[in-house]
Amino acid sequence: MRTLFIIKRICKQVLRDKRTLALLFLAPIFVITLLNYIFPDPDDEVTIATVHVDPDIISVLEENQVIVQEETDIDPKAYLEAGHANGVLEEKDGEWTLTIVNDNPINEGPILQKSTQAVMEHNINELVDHIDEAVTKMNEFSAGIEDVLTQLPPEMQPDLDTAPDLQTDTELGIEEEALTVDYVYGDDRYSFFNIINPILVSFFVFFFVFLIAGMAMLKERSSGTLEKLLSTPIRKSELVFGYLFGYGIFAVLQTAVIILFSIYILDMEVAGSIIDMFIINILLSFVALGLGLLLSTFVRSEFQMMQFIPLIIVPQIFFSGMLKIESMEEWLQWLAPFMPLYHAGNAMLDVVLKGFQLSEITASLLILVLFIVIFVTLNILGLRRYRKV
Amino acid sequence: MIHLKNISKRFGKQTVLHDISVEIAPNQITGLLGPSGSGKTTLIKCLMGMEKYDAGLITINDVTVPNRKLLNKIGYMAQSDSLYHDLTGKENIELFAHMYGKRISKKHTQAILDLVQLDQDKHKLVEHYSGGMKRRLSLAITFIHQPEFLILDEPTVGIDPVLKMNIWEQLHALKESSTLFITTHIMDEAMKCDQLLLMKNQRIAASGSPQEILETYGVSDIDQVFLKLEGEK
Repeated sequence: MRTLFIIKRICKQVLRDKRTLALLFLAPIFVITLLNYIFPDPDDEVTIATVHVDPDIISVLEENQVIVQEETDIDPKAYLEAGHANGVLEEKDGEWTLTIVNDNPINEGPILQKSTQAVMEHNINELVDHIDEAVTKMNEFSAGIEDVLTQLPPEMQPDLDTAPDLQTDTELGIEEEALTVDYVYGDDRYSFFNIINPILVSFFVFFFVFLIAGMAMLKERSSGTLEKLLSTPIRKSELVFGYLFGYGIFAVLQTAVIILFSIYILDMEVAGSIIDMFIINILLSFVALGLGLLLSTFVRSEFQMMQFIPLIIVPQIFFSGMLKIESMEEWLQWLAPFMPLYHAGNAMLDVVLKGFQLSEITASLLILVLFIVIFVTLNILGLRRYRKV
Repeated sequence: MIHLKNISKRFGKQTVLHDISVEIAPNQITGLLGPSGSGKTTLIKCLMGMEKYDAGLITINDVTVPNRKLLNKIGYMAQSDSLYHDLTGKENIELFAHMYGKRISKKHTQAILDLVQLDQDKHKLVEHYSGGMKRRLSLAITFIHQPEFLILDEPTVGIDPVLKMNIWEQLHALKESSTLFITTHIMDEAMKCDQLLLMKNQRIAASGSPQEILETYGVSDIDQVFLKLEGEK
């Protein structure tokens, strides 16, 4: 019962605090929208200037939606810095040189990939041409032998089939693309945003809920209302659950807003089920609540609460699935399982990109539940500081 | 009845309470008087079960402190105002009333608001209250559940003289049904208490009614008692 009144009170307070409301709902939307447009769209136009490049390569580039500017005599560096093109491709004695600015690795990806593809395709085509040529020559050669043989006296003619199946094998699939890329998950329209957005959704849920719960509890401690509440017969668990569910309501709403916004406004593609996304993030938001409430025990001011951001929040981004854990130093990999965002981020990638079912992410969900249980218990114990029973 | 027997408390190496034994008489106002830092607040927190005492025994109505259910019988007012500034006065009263698990009738809430003269401002957010209004609201919240014991830590700090008189009248009226335990470091307020406990150097240096104490030390006001105590040392 008392829990219910604590929840009611928190709702009243949050609804009256317009800034907190804005931080909860508008700030994540703002940042996610920004990110959507910051990362380059793979459909964006790429311009490559070519110098003495084989027309075959140019046509392959053009097939790949690259705008080709044929030049004859330019200084690549000056040309690129003037912003005329994204890259300069030169051919000299059968060697190719691609010059790129390289001031932004994300932007250079498509140029590198498309140029390499064009050159490779050209080379393969040339190889095929060479084989063709060789085959033709061999045919001519064997025809010559046959001619010679026919001129021999009949008793000397060997019973040989001198023209083997060569002719039939010269038809190689030249017209087809030299390299076809198959994607296990998603397709070539995926930008970096598609991959990091599921993680960002979880990150924002975690970050904002952590911040708001921590700040609110801190205010309760410093204003003396926590002590006052504990001078009433309320159970410590009633108080912690009141906090958890009071802020939990807003955490759930925030999660819903972020997920629905990402899917319906920013066109995030979800291979799995949206309900699974909700389950992951709602559990995560309760972890963040528990952690925020707990850490507010150790701080005396809002500024000290902010100090936890580089310490607790930022490192979790690295482990959230954006970077491969397997490629990290071994002693670092060991840290990953202790980070709530590692479990949530990877579960999100599994659901959103790989289309995993609920049964396939149960392990991650159970670990999140374990985090919640641990933090709630610690919070209840932590209130002993204010009251011994 | 509140009994404190041989209570000691230390924070690390520093002794805060030293062997304190006191009985607090029912239906009286007992004042705990002493300079800042003499351990008044710590003693009160031990009494509330907010702080652990290292040695001794505290009982309230024969129940050993700390005990959560005991808090139903105690109204507590801390030094700070401890109010939700983003709620109205009425909402604050209602919230704390629910914490005692009582459905407080509208009539009772109204009576309390009238008592502390906050009826006109009950729908205002507490952040717009003056210091005195906040103090009165805090006081109102302490006796919302009609507790048997009222433990008030410096209830009249920062209150103008007229209001202070007013509050003391209310405290004396509450005596009928409750036992009051009040800390203060304002000497003239001490004279308004029925019983006094003088705290000095982490222990109770003198106790009795104000008149008895003045007579024992042969002085005309409480300030001089402290000066005498200082001299004895």
